[in-house]
Amino acid sequence: MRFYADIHLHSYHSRATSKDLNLEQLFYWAQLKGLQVVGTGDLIHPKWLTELKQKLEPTEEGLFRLKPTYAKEIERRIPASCRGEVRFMHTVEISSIYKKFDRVRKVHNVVCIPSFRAAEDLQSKLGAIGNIASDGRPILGLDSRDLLEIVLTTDPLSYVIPAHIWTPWFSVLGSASGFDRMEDCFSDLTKHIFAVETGLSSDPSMNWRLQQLDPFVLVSNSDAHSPAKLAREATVYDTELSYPAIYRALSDPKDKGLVGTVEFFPEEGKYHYDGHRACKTRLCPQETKKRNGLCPVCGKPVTVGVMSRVEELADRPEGKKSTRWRPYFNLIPLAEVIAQAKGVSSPDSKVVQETYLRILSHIGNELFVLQEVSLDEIKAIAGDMVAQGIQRMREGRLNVAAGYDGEYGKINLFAQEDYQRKEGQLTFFNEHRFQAK
Amino acid sequence: MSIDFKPSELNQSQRQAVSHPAKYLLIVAGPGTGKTHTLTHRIVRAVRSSPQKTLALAITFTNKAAEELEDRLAQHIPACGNNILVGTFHRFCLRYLKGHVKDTNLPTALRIASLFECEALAKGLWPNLTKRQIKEKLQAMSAHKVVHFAQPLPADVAAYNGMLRRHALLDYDDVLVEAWKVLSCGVPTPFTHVFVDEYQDINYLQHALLQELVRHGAALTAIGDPHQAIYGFRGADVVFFEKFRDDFPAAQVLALSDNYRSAPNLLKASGQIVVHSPGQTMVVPPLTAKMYTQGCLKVYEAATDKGEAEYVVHQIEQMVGGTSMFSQDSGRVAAGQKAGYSFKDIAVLYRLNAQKNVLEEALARQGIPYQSCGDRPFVELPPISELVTLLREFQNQDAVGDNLSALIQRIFETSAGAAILNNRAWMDNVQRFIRMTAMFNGCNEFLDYLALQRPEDMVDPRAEYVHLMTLHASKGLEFPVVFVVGCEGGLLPLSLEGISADPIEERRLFYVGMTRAKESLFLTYASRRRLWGRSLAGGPSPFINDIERQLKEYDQAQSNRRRKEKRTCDQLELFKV
Repeated sequence: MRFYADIHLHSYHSRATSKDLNLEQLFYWAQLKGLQVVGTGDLIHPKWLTELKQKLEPTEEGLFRLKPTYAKEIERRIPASCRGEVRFMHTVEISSIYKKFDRVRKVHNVVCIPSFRAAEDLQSKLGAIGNIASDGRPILGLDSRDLLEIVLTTDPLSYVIPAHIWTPWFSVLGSASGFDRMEDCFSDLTKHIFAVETGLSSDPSMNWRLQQLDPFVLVSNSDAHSPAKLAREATVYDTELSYPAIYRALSDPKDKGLVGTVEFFPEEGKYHYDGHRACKTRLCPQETKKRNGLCPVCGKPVTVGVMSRVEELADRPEGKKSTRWRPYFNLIPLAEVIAQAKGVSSPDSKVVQETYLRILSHIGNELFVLQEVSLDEIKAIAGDMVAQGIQRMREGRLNVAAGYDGEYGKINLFAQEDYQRKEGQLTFFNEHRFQAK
Repeated sequence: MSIDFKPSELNQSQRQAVSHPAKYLLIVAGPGTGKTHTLTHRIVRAVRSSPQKTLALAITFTNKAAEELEDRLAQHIPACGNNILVGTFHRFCLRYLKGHVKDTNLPTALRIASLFECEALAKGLWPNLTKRQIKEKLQAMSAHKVVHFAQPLPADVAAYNGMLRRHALLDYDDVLVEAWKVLSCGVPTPFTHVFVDEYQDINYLQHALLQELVRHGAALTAIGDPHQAIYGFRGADVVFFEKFRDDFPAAQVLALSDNYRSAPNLLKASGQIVVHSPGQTMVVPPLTAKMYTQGCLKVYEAATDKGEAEYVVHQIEQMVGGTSMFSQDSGRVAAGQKAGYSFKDIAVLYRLNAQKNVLEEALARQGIPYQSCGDRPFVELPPISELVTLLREFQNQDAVGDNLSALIQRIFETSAGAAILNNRAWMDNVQRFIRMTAMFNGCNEFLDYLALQRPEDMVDPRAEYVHLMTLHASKGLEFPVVFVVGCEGGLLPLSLEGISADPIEERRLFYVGMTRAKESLFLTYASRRRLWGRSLAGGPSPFINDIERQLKEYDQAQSNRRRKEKRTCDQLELFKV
C-alpha cells in the first residue's frame, strides 16, 4: 500500500516543544495531515517510554497503534473525510556533541528501533553514558560512530538516519560543526548508514550534487516541535505497512518500496542562505564568497547556510541526479496558503483555521488537498484565491525571500496586484498589514 | 599533561634534568612545565644506558598517573615491564608485601579491607560511638599510623589492628606500614633507580619508605612543586621537599620554569597567588609563559549559589557554542559564536563536595552531560560494595575458584545479582565494574586492584563530559576552560564552623585550581550560599584580591541583557534581498 511516514518529531519532553505534543495529539494531527506512520520521538526518555508502553499496542511487525481506549475520544473529533489508520514507529533523536579530529562536532541523529525490548536496551545503554531524563532529545558527549555502534547492537533491524544533514550547527555535513565527508563521521561503520534526512533547508536536487551521498536514499521528516507542524515534510512509501518493509525500502537498493518525499521549498528553511540575523544581513552564496564570508554590518564571519555548504562540497553539476534518486514534491503548509490567500499575516488566526478545517472536512486530509485534489473542488469550498494559491504552489510559481541564520524564509504566493484584482480583498489586506506592524 | 615532544624537543632545562648525573636529584617542576615528560625521559635514559643492570621503580601519586606514565614509557621502551615497575606507594607496597609475607608475622591470605569493613570492625570495638565518630576515629588512627609508625601502638590502634589481622585484613595505611617494617629490617630491594612524582605531597611514612628503598645504593629522582603541596591534612608535609638536600648527601636541585600550559595573563595571575606564600623557605623561580595567546580571566559575583551555578551553565553553553537549536535560535548563544570547546575541555572545581549538588542540578536542567569525580572510592559506591561481597562469598564456596569471568557470570545468575543488574540507577557503575573485570583473569588480583582505586582515578573515558571535581582531585590535570566556584571567604580559605584548614595550604590549593586552566579561567563567588542547611555570606575570597586589578575582568549578569536583545531582535523588520 501507499503511505506517508513522518518519523522525526518530538514529544513534550523535549526542550522548546509544545506542551500538547502527546500521543493523542499526534494521533489527531496525523489523520488531519494524512500520515499513516509517525515516529514516537523521544523514545528513550524514561517518562515518555513508560507512557508509550501504557498507551500503545503492537500491530504489524515493528509498528504500534494507540490503544482504542485512548483513541476513541480523539477519533470523534476527526472529520470523517480524514479518518485513517495511524501507526507509530519507535524513534528518537540524539544530539551528540564531542571532539573529533581536534574540532568540536555537533551531530544530530535519528535512531529507529523495532521493538520495546530494543528500546529498553538502548535506554539503559545510553542512560549509562549520560543524562537521558532532562531532555527528550538527550545531549550526549558520544561520538556519532559510537552511537551507531550502540544502536546496531540493540537489534539487527535498528538503524540510524543522520538528521537534517545540512543544518549548520547540528548535523553531519553542517558548515559550523559537521564533517566534510560522511566517512569522517561514521568511520568504519559508514556502510551501516543507508538513508539521510535532507532537512527543511535543502531538497533532494541539492543533495544530488554530492557523489558521496549516492549510496544513501534521501528521506524527509517534519522534526515537528508542535503537533500542527507534522508532515510539513514526509516520506512516501509504496510497500507493505511494517517496520521491516520500511527498513528494506531504505536499505536495499533493489527494493522499490520508497516512492519519494514531500518537501518544504528549501528557501523557506531557516538556514538556506547565509547571513546574520542580528545584523539583518542575508547573503546568497555568491555574495558571501564576494565578501570573504564576512558580514557587511559587523565584519564577523556570517553563519554559513545550507546552499553555500552544498556548493562547497558539491562535485556534480546542477540538474544531474544521483543513482538512488527519487522524485519529490515541494509543498507549502495549507494553513499558510490560506493565510496568504486571505491576506492574513498569521496562519494561526481564526479565519485561517476555520477555512482549514472546512476544506479538510469537505475534501480530505492536507497532503491529499495540497497534491491531488482538483482546483475546482478547492475553489468551490474555499474560494478562488486559495485555489489559485495551491495552483501556484503546485507549479512552483512563487516569490521567496530565503531563510538565513535561524530566520525562516518568507514565501509570497501573491503579489500586490493579485489582491487588488480581487474586489474587496484589498482593503481587508491592508488593514491587517497595518495592524500587524 | 598533553605536552608531547619528540625526544629532541626537550627544552634546555628539561634536557639538563633528564641527563643530570647526580645520584640524588630533586626537580622542581611547576604546573605545565613538562613534569611527566621530563620524568619519562629520565627513566628511559636510565634504562637505556644499562638495560641489563637497571631496575627502576617509579612511584606516582594516583593510579591514573601510573597508567599514563606506563603508557608513555611503553612508547619509548616496548618491553619496559622487565626493567620498570610503575605504581603508587600502595600498589608497590602491596606487591612487595605479598612477595615477602614470610618475612612478616602476617597471615598469608592477605587482603585490603574496604572502608565498610574498617567501619564495621571499629563499630564492633567501640559500639557506643556514632557513625560520624567512627569515621573520625578511623581518620585519627590513620593520621597516627602514617606519622608514628615506628613507635609502639597506642591501645586503641593495637586493638583495631588486632581485629583486622584476625580477619586477615590490612587497612589502607597498614599496607605501607607493614612494607616499611620489612624494608627496615634490612631486606635489600633489587631496585637500582627510584623515581618519585609529586614529591611535595609525601608523608612521614612514605618518606621513611623512600629512605629504606635507597639505603642499599639506589639512585633517587624526586620531582614536584612545593607550591602545589595540598595534602597536609592527610599527613603529607612539604618540609620533605625543602630538606631534600639534607636527607640525601650531595643532592642536586634543578628547576623547570618554562610553562607550556597557560595563557600568559593566567600564568601571571596565578603567580601572584604564590609569590607571597608565607612560611615557604625554598625559593622557586617564577614561571615563564611559553604560550603566547592571551587567555581570559573572569571574575563573577552571583547573588546566590544557585545564581552562580546558572552562570556557570550559561558560560558552558556559550563555550560550546550552543547545545540545542533552541539556544542557538533564541539568542541564548550569540549568533556566529565559534564552536571552540567540547564538554571534555571544561572543568568546574570546588572546595567541598557539598557545593556539587547545585551545580549538578543546573547542568542537568540544561541537559549538559557532566561527570563528577566523587568523594568516595569506586568500591564504596552502590552497588559495587554489594558486588564485591557477593564475589568474595562465591569465591569461598564455589568450585570455579579464582576464575573471575566465571564468578561474575555466577553472580548475575543469582537473584541478588540479577536485581543489581536490573536496577537502572546502578547501570553506570555496574557496566564500569564489568569493563574493569575484563582486564583481569584472577579474582584476587581484581579485588586488590579495586581496593586501591581512589576517587580521582575514576574518570569514564567513553564519552565526553564536563568535569566536576574538588580542587584536590584536579591536581595533575589540565583543561582549556576552568571554573573555580565558591571563591569566597569561609570556603577559600576553608574556615567554617567545625571545618577549617591551614590557610597557607589553602592558598596553594587555590593556586593548583587556577593553574589547571589553559585558556579561560572563571573565578566565581556567591554573596549568599546555602551549605548543610546553613546560610553563609563570606564575600569574595581574599585570594581574588591578591590578583592585580588589570588581570581580572569582572563579568556582568547576563540574563537581563539577553532578554533585551531578544526583544529588539523580534521587532526587526525582515531584511529583503
